[in-house]
Amino acid sequence: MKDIIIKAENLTKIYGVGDSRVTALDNCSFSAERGSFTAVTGTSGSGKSTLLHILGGMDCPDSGTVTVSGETLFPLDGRLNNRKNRARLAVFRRRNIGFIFQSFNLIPIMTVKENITAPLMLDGRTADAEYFKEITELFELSDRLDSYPAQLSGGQQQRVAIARSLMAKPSLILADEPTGNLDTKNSREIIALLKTGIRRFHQTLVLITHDPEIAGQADRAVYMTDGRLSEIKC
Amino acid sequence: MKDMLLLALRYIKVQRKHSIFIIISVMLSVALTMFSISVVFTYRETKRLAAIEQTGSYHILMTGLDEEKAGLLSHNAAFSQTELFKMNTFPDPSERQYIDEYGNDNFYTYNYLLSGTDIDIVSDYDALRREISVAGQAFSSGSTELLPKTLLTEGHMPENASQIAISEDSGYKVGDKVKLSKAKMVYDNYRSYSVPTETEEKIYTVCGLLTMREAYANYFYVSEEDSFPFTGFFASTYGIRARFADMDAHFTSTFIDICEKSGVLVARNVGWDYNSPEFNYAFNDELITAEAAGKEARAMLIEISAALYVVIMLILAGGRMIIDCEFELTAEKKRRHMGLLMSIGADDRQLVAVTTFEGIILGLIAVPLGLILGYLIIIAVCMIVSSDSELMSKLCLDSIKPVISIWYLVIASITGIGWVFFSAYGTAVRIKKVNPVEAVNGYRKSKKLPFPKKPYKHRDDPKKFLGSINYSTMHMEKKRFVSCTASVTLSMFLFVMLSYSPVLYENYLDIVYEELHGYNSDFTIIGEMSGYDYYELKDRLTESGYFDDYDINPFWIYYDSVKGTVTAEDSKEYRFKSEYMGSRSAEINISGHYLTDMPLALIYEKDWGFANGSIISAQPKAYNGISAEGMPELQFRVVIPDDDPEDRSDRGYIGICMTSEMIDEYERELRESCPDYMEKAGERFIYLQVRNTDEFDKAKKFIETILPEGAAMHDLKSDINGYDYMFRFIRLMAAAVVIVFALIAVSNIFNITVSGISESRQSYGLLRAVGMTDSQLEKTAAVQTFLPIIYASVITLILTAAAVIIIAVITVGSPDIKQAMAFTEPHKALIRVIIASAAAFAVAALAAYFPLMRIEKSTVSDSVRFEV
Repeated sequence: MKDIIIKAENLTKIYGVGDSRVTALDNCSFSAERGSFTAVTGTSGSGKSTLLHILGGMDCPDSGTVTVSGETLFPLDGRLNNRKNRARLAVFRRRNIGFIFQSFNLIPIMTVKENITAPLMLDGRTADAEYFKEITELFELSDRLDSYPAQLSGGQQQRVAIARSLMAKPSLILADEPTGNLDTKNSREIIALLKTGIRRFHQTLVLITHDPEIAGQADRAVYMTDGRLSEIKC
Repeated sequence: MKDMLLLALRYIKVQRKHSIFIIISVMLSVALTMFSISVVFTYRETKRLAAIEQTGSYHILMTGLDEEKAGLLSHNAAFSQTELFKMNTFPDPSERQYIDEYGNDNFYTYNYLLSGTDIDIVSDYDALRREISVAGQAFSSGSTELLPKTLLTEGHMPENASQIAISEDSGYKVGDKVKLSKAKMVYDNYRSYSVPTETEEKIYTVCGLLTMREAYANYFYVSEEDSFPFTGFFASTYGIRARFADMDAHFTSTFIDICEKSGVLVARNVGWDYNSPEFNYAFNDELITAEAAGKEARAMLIEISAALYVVIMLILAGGRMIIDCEFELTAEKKRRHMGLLMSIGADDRQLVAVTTFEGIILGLIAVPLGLILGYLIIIAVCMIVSSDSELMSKLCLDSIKPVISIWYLVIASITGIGWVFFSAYGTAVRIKKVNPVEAVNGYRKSKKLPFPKKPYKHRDDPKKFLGSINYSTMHMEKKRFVSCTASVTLSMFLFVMLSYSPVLYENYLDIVYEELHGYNSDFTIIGEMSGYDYYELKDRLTESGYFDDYDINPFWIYYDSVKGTVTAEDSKEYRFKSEYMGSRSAEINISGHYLTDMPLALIYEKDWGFANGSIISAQPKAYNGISAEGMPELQFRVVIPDDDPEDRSDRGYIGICMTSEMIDEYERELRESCPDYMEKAGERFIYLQVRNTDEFDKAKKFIETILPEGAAMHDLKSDINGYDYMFRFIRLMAAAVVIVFALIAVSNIFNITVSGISESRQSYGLLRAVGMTDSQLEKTAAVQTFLPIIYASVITLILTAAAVIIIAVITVGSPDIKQAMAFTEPHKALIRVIIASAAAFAVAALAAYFPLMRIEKSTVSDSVRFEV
């Protein structure tokens, strides 16, 4: 029996009204097995990032359901503007989701160490020293822990972002074009590190990419167009 | 450049909030500058109008001129507007009675000019006493019409200075010429009767004849060496009211020069010497000061200008800080845009032009609004002051009209435009130094970034995680943090001190009132007078019926002319009403006009109020003869009562108190030992208590008519009203300025807070993405918002405490802690600091609420989808 870690059904997300109305997700359904590497490809504006944001609890679908590790994320009991719901999603994100952005999105006022441990700190937990050491050595960040993001290269910043996403040992890693701002060499290294990480720590990776080479490395690839998903036979 | 101008307009539109804050800041700075300048000149103009209303629009009033001399002066080019008028000047009648050693009534006769007439009192004193009172009143009111017409039996009363009405039994008839010498009668102690002294021969034409019985006679000596009684009434004189054409620094000496060159002699005082053809003049000091002329006026103008300059500099400093802060906040965003422009070929000049144009455009919008606001504020203040009917009645004005000059508008406008231009230009120059590569890539690789040198020491503690965020934020935005803290501090401190200043003035008034009341008098006459002056004044006061003898208290005679040295261990020179430190017996040497070997009382009082002092010594130890000043000197040995010899902080005052009887006795002695004594003038304080309070106003008017030349009269009511008026004015001005400062401060704090939250939106979004909840976000934002306010409050408290201490030391003198505390009331300053801090916190909280709510209500994905 397949161990489905994340399941999204009939997701719909519409932005704007009237003439500016855009349907980002059109009755889209998605699922992923635990420990798998799923690549999401598609043209620009197809709704890939919107899907990832909803799966990561950063946005709310207009309709549909999302379940992560058996816990129903959406629909919410009430509106997203409800303070309680927002708190619930925030706690969920920092415990269960590791998000990696294309633009790294490190917090500029915090050091590398602080960025990496931020999800744990926000949760009131202390980082496991051994695990922290393992992560930082894996991503070759041990000698840059007191540096600030502005003092790092793009590749280094993305490594920090990945390390951050793994630090809380989340069950699900969502990566939105993590190699989009990197050169080829760095891109390969990052993907390799991601794959190593998820295998070592038994995590599930859903990754958005335009790069067919990266998509080819995934266990499964899906294609988005006009807010709908279709499988790509590998 | 046209494109840069359009780009500047686009920035103004896009950064609407920043633009509005800059406009508001410039507007308020311009308004306050204009208001400050205008209020000073409105006050001066009001004083000028009040002076004109009360005393006339002339600078100098000359009286007692004959027609020829008056005409000479009135056509002089130095007087721009001259009014020549006919007047009857009547120098005060002087008749004094004293009781000699034999108990006889005797009289002094002085230059007694009634309508130009020299009057002597005939020997039948009792019969004439009634007439003296009548005549005294008539003479003081200055009108010959009040004298009975039956006095004149033939001819008419004199109409000019060369005519005389003479007693009918003198042997002369109307039309005759008579050569007479006018004499001043002085009592000769040796002979024990009055003898004539100075004389001046003059030819008079007899114009009328008078009855002997009802008339007052002068004793005139004719060249035949016989004296015979006659009465003369001289005609009226002329006066000039003139305005000086040129109120330069030397206008008074210019006036004297003019008069001398015109052949018109100038005397300080007609006074006693009616023999010389001199006349009275008086400067309209109030108007001269109000029109900023004369030494005192210039000194006052310098003081006001200095104070105004300080106020304007503070306004500009506050405004500049806010504007700088605002441009700094937008600089970060602009930096990347400038880099992008640079990457596509914009040069330095064009880059600087964008932000500079932005500043100029905002200034051009804000300045007219500020001028209008300033004008409205001054109008509102004038309306409020004008609605105080009591104040307007005192000023004799219907209303106060604001004074607006084109120069105020120009100064305020230049200030506003200049300030925003320099802020914008400075920011533009800083921005254009951006590295285009870094700007385009959205990050900096410079090593000179303001990172904290040491990491946050609690960075491994999850409970202190939010502290870590704030620690880093403060370091990285140090300049902004310091600038914001400084501007909030300046606003709060100015608010505190301006609202506190009326408290200090009110406390000063309390001291003044206590001193005024301490003497328990309704009026105080202060001035330099000789002994003659004083006794004559005293007699007139008692004869008026408004004052009894015991109501007239000539305490502190020759105030400030006493010097003393303490020759015991604690050697300290002190003056009359001086401090005495410690408590022990001491040898005190005192010299002064009044001292002889007669007993007198030394009053010792711990506090200022001498009226309640206790007599501590009555016998001088030795008489040291005549001092270097030509006055008798006495040495006293006094024992100062002290209940705590160990307390070295005791301070008291020693004063010399003399009763009226003592004064009479001493002056008699002094006349024998110091012949010039009665002639020599000394400063006197005479305290008067009205017998019947219902007659207060009448008594005041009476005193004004008999006041000796050079003396001034203060009445308690006027003094208190004057102080009250000044206090109300200060309070009103302070309130107006405080309100404007408060508006600036509120706008400043609001802007800083909103901008701070908005600028942190990026960080907050990223933190939300990794799981920060709303409450954690609010705690972080609260620290960032309130930290500058906390620092500003602490610094304001320290600055206020320092200011209060400085004020206490300066105003109170040697630090008597209790006295200083009573005067400065530091708890009131503290209350104001607390109010300012509480208000700042409230405004900051309100300002933070809206942008924070907007951030919280936005989705996390929207927060992370932003320009890096």
